[in-house]
Amino acid sequence: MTWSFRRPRDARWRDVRIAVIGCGTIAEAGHVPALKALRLAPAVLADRDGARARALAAEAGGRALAVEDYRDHLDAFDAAIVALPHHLHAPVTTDLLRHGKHVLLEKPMAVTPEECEQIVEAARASQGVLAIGMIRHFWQNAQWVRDLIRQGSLGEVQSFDIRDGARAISIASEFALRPEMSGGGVLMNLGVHVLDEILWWLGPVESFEYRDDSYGGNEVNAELDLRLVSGARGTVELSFNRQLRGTAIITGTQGELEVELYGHGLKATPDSLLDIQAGGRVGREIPPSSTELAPIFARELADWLDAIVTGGMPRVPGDEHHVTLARLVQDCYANRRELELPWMRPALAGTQAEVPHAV
Amino acid sequence: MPSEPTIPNSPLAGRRVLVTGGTGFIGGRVAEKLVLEHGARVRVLARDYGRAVRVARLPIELVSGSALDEVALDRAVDGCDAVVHAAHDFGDEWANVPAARALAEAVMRHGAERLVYVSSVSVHEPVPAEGVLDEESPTPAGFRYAAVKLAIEQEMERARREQGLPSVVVRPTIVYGPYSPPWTLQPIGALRSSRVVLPAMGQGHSWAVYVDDVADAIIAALARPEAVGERFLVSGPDQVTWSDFFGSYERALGLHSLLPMETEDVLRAQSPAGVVVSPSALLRTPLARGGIQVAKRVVGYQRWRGMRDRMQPLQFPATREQTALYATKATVDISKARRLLGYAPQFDLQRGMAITSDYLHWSQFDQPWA
Repeated sequence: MTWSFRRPRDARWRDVRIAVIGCGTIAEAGHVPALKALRLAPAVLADRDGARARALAAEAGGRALAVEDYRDHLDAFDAAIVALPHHLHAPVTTDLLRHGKHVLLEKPMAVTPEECEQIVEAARASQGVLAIGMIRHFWQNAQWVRDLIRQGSLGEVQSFDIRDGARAISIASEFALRPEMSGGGVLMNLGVHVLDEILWWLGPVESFEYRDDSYGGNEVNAELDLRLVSGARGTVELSFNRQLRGTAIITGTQGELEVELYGHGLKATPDSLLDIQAGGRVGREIPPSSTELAPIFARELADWLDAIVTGGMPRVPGDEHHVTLARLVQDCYANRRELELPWMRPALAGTQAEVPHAV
Repeated sequence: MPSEPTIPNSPLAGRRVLVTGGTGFIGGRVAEKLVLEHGARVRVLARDYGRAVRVARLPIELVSGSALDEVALDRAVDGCDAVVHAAHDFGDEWANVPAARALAEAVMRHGAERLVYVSSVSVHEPVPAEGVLDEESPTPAGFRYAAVKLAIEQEMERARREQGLPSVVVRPTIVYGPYSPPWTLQPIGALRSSRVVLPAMGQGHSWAVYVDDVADAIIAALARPEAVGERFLVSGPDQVTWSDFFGSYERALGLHSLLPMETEDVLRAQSPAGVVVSPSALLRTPLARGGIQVAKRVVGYQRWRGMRDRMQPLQFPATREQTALYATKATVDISKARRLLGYAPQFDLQRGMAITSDYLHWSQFDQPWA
């Protein structure tokens, strides 16, 4: 299905009472504007910090209940957008699914593969629809690239090079800085998107080398060298304090694609690759990029709501794929090497200090 | 059996140190060195978690709050053995003064043994045109930032004299290196977007000091008993000019943006806004762009690049104080820091800039998207 953000809102969605659980940066910048874009008002906004819940309720409009604990208001909603610190994803999502609620769970599904398995199991046993907030599956360029590769139009994929980083990030609470709550830094955040995209586009990972700049806290910069089961090799670079290229370059025997990670941008060599139809789209006809988050979050939200009202599957269901992803992230941290930064060397040279290592 | 962690031979090992401004440039590096080289337990006061990502790579304790918030300061000092005050709020600058007073009171109330205030050479601005600058040189503090820094120094001194505050003041000079807003990031921004005018034909003395040397001086001021009650100028080991300094950035990024000028010409041309747009900048108008494309083809890209560099807007020093800073032939005397802090700067310009250049490339400042 192709979504147009401007098409009329679906009246059936209005019967779904939605809670937003966790009122941090992503709820404020993504989910609540998406609800507004679809002309939907949340029924409940929950945050341990009641003031944040109230502030976002005012922002969301309507008559949303602003509460500190969703568990006291289970009768007030049918579906929940869970945007909590990562360590709460598993307990809260399994609890919601056991109560028959539909859940749109922000990525990562959970911190560990074991927690992800619990969630997958809870989803199987529940009537609720579980979707995972892998927002990049909703960019049309990303979808076209997946379909193009799958139909063989790029030939055999030989290499890839993905750089994702911004000079600054916005964080509303300290959870993202605390390993015990977030499970990790830039790899657990941006990296999960990128690794998900690699698995989605190119298939499973055979082996990797991983480096990051953690000295016991959450890493801000990370690098991965990957070899895929398909034989393709590639590099991933991630940063929370550097502006990186923000694209994925994928090279196959039939050409090369450069895909914008935050928008619809596409470049191809040869340029004629863009004229190929894949998954019902032609690359050149994908609309120009937008840096706004609300339209893309609205697509994700609409997809989940459609699955709820039709009994279908969301585009990114909460299945074993996320267990694989969590295991890959966990393996990266377990096999971490130090990312050598030239300006750290003088600090470490000549000292016997025990350098604490990653999460 | 796992080997015992080796505790570094530092008097700060195991000590709890609060770093205000620990999410920033100098404070962030102090925090890194305290943890990694000295085995200290570091607490950082953070008002913006997004800015704290760099220091949160380390096993530090984050305390939420602003360095202008007296309650947050009190909470942050509680339980600390020593404090580095490196925060400076550029919003309501004068509010930094009562906040520093409150911090000093919290230090005394909670019995912390040392408070190191990271001031600035700016208290000496406008700097003398020649001679030797030392801790006893005049402190005209001729603009707001400098006046606020000086007022805080005076607060510290008053509290030391009247109430026995164990304070030390460190006045770093031109601190550059990875993440330096004033002397690395802003200069390269200027060099990338304009022609940077250097007074005194670029031959003024730059007083550049690599951030690690400053961090080491601050840490020595925390640990050395003889530092209490003293002020220290902290500068680099070698005498370099502003041409050397900015030229290092030009070479690192492959730019040709410096424009040395006589100081009197700079003073004559300086506008209140500090930036004079050259008439040739008009060539950047959309109408002219088509012509530029043609010119590129006619003269070739390399020659075109040289022409384009000469057509950039001119960036003059923003103020007369800054012009004096770029024109001075004075030298900074760091003998007091050497004597009482054991300060031994390790990074001459060549070494410091080599590392900074690595950082700039790693940060991709040589790329169009950065």
